[in-house]
Amino acid sequence: MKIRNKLVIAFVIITLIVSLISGIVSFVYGEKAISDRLDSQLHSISVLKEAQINTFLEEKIKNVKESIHCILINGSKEHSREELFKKISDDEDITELFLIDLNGKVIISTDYTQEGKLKSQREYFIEGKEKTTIKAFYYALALKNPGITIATPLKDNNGNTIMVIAARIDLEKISTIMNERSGLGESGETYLVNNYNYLVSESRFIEGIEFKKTIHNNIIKDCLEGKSGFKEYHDYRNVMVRGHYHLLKKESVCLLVKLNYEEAFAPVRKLALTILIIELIVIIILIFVAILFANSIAKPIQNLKNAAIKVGSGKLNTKINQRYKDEIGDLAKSFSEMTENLKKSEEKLKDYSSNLKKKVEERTKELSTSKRRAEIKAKESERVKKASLNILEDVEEAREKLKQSYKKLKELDLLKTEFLSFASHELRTPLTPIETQLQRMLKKDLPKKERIRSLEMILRNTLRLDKLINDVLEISRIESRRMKINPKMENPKLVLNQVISTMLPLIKEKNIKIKTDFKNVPLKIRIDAYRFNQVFINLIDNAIKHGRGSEINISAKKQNNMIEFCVKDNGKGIPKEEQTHLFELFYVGREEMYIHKGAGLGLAICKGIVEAHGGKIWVKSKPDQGTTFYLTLPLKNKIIIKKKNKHK
Amino acid sequence: MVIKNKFKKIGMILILVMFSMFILACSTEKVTELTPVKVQLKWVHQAQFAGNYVAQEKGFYQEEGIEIIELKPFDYVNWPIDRIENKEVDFAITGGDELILAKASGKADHVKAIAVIYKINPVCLYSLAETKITQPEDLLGKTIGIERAADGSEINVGILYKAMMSKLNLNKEKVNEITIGYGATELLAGETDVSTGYVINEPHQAIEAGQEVNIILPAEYGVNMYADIIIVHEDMIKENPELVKGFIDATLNGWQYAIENEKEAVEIVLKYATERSQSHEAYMLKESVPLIHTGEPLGLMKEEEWKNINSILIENNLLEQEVSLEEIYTNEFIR
Amino acid sequence: MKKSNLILTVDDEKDIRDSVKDVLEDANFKVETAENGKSMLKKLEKIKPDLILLDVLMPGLTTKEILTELKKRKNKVPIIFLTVVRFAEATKKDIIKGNMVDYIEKPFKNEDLIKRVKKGIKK
Repeated sequence: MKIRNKLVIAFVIITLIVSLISGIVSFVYGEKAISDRLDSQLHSISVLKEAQINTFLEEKIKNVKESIHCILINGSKEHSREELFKKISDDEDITELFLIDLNGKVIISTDYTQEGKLKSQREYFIEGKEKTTIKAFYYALALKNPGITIATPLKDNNGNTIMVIAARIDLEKISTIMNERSGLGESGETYLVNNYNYLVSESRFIEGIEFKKTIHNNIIKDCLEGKSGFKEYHDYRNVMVRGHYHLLKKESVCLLVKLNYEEAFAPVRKLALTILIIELIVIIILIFVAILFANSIAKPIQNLKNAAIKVGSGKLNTKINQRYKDEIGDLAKSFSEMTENLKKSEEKLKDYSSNLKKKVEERTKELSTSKRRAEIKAKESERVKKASLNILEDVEEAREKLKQSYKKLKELDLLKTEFLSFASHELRTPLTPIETQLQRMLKKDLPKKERIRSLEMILRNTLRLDKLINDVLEISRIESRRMKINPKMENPKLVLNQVISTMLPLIKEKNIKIKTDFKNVPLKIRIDAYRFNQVFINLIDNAIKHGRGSEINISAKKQNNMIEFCVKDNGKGIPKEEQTHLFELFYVGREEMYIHKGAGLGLAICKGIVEAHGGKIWVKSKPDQGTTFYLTLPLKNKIIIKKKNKHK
Repeated sequence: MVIKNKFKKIGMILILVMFSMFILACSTEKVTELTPVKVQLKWVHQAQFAGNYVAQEKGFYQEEGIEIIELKPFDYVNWPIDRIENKEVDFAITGGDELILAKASGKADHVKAIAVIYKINPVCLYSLAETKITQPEDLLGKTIGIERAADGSEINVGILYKAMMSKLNLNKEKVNEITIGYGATELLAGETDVSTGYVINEPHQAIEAGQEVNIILPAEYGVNMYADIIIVHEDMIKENPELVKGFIDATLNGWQYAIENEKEAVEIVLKYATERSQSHEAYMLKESVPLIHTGEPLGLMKEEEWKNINSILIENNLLEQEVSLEEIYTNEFIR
Repeated sequence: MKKSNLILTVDDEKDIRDSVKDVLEDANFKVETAENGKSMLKKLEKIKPDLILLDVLMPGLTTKEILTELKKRKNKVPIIFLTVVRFAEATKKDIIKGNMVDYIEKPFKNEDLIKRVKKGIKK
């Protein structure tokens, strides 16, 4: 990638990361600030409402307590009733005042229909006999509606309670307090929930559900346990809100102040949007800056590169701007110096060559002073030229030959190393059991069975060594092209059959079918029968080893002035990669190496023999389709035996 | 390519299998999950049982895996307590006093109350406004019409009237009693000065006839007995508590819904109370709400209240001995 | 009765395996054999030899692979390499040493083999 692009991308990524981080941080802080502000707002409203409610209730309690004083213990009923009515008109929030005797019977009430009723079961009466009590936000049967009742005892001079005064407070007032919503925006609301989960104040949004709707959620649960706090939750309309909850202990109600989440966090969204826009603008600006900056670095480098190219292609007059005082400037400076030097050198060279030219011209002039001398000289120089050219050619040739022989030497060296390693291993392997067993036998007398076994092992390995040495000698003969063959006129069929009969026991042992097919085979061909034997024994042995042991086809036919032999097996076949190396010295294919432990000499020997006869050997094989070895031997046309049979 | 196709095929087969399994699961779920339940009501179909109707129509019972296959109104033949004791129905509604009396006579040994609907007894004494009978004292010297059973024995209205008078130490003898039928007929005809009734029902008949009424509620004079309660055979509590809880939850949710949505509840009631008027059922439901919804959890029964019933019955010589509270009720299914 | 030590001999040539076995058994060792790295590792799952004689030029798993596997198996049995070529310095560096404590060149003196095996077991 170009430097300029690299720089731009790096720059942009860095600034992106930085701006992302700063954006996120500022957003988080901003959100928190808004949230905190909201919470403090909710809290202060909650505190305010609580204070208002408490103030209101305390005032009423005070009024009710005061009304005691107006009741004359021994006064008449009418008097008492009058006093009660007076009190009610004084305080418009009290809707009913009544006196209850110790049995719980309402003796006097500003609502005469209540007189005579028994309130003995009512909590406010039971508690009110002892002290001033308030029963808030409960369902009053008399009202068939929720209400608040304040009760206080009327005691005689000895401190004994003689009756209880109870006042019913208009719940409307509480609702009014709760509904006063300044500071709560469009969706804000404060409401009360009692300890049976009933909504006991009016809802701002749904009419008539007070004291009908129950609200069960974790907030109420926590609140009724006395916990206070801020939370985001779904309110009774299933709208997402953020609110503050707090338990008013005296009245056993939860005070909730809430605001729609949307409205509460609208400023947050605005903040997010603002930050986002700022970020985008910043990023765009930065990209431009990045491009400019990258250019300022990349441009001089590019100039330098172009200059280098020009100089490289020979234009030594190329000049470079060295405006910058940084490392690139230094590089440019050195580059210019280098170019200068190059120019100087070139000029020097030019001088030299022009000098040389001059000298040559002078010489030539000298030479041409006398025509004859010049001609002779010219002729001589021609000869010299030719000779030097010849010498050059010879030198070249010699160098080539040297190269070749060096190559050859290297190959030979490699071959030598391979051979040595091969010989070392192959020789020592059979030697080991030989030596070991001999040591054992010399050390102590072995029982007959063991002795025989040891000796067999020794013999086996000795023969192996023998074979190895023979093979090695064969190879050396092949390698030094010293293989001597003794070709005589032989009957190929006969020789082949001899080979087959030699191998018959092994063939029979392995249950292999051998098929022969001779077409047009001349009666006599010129071959070294012993070598011929060697080749076919090797090929057939391979076929037995590698074939899958069912069938071997040996065929021979006349082809032009060659005789072509085929040895075909139906084994696994030879992979293509191995086919190319098959006839190389020391080459062992996978199967040969692992299973048959061959030394890799057999086919090399075959090749040597066949080529010594002037023939060719090659292999054709496809995986799972068996392998066929082809070899051709030339027919020496000098001696042709008349064909007895005419074969097609 | 071949591999891709293979994967596609496998994927599609998997999706097909999962889909059919899902459908199978859904359908089998619906078929096998609903338990059939029979319910016997205390009276005829009316807003008095709004909670049950709402729970049925709004699918609350279904959500609890219950299918109400029978919701019978009272017909003088099928007595709720008997039907529960004989396991003819799964749940029934009866009165608190009726349960204690039945237990005392050994007819309800296995019946238990698991929730109270009407915590405050709707029994009232109502009179036309012009007679100015606003307090129990005003009854003295008047003629009162008392609704009684077919054989003349006292039912809850009479019991509560008697209990109130004795609680307030008023001499009942000074009031002229006659037996009336179930309705405001006699009052409107002037045969009685004041009649007994359910505050949720009979007074409205007078109101519909254009009259204004005064109501005396014995519950406000210190005598209260649980009215409608839900009862069940105690074997069912042992063997199938989840079913019992499901029924209670659904029914109470139905009542809660009815309290919050009175209008809609009335419409639902009218589907069952086919021969009633909308105004009557609306009145009944409106008057019922304060008796059911006293600000405490729906259905919750209190020891003192049951003790009270025992006391009232004993004081009025209807019960010889207290019935032990453990045998009467259990709150284990109320939240 | 002195406990007989168990030697595991690994070589791809049967005759060599048998000869080594003969020599060691003559010296009262117990011998198990394996013909290549794979069957050696398999055998090691069943037997716990006191020493392993390992031919370094075998078909199949290379010596390096064998030693790596032994290291993986946390097998700390001492090993004596059987080599044909002189154990050149370069080769020494190539093969991870593993638990090799000594090496013997083939062909060897029987006495020498026994001495080194005894020494090797002690390590």
